[in-house]
Amino acid sequence: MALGPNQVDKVIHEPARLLLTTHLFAVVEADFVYLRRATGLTAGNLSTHLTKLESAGYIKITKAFEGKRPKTTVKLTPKGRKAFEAYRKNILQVLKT
Amino acid sequence: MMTTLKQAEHFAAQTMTEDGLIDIFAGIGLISIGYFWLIDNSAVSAIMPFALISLWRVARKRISEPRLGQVTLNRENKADIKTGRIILLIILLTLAVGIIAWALGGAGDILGTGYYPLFAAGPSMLIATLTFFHAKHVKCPRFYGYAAWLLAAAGIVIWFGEGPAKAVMLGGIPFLVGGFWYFAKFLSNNPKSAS
Repeated sequence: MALGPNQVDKVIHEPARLLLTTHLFAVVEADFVYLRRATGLTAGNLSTHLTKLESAGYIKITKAFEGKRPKTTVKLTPKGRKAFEAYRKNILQVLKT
Repeated sequence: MMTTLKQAEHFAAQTMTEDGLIDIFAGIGLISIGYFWLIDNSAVSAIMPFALISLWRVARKRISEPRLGQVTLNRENKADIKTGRIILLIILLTLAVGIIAWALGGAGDILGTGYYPLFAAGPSMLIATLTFFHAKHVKCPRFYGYAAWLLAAAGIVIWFGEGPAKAVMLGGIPFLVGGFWYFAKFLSNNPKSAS
């Protein structure tokens, strides 16, 4: 069966967000510093993409303080995990055919 | 450049060892354990591993985490790292027990016997074996090199007719040198950043 354009999740499909969700899928949770290092994105860029993923309900962002240092922790929600798994399945299907 | 899921998992696992701190503390541990063993201060040798583990934790929290960030590994990766750490703890405990047993058992009686090669090479060969498994579990290739060097150190002390303390000391050198090299590289590549 051919895959329609609406079946590829556009929130995840954007390259920076795909990179971000791949790293988040590989771990339970990660902080902002780790994600910046892992993706190579600038702080501003990373924030923008995180906000988009959060709006879609794919990630949960927790802001806290560790001593005097601010700490932002990000984790994929169950909805985000499912969406990433579905995206992988769909894109593999596209590439196979 | 895009990243595969496997590369992302590897990147997360690497976060645990890329600072070189574990190498430095293992090197300091092995060299000082060997040294105190050599000067017959076995009590200090036996305590040393536990003091170093506490120091390593503090150093990691203060130096590495602000630069590398914090990550909670998924269950599979976490299990591997946990196994790696348990292996490391077994290395240190075995060494501590071995040193005490050596000190209480009268080392001088063994040195002239046929059991000498086994006793001289035993501790470093044991550490080499465990370092090998540690390398496998934390997916860190340089630990294979350390394991190989520990085996070579065991051979060297037998060749020169020396005791096990010197093999342990000798075995610690590449950990320390490698650790400082990775630590310097880590500091220059990762400036401290706000979360």
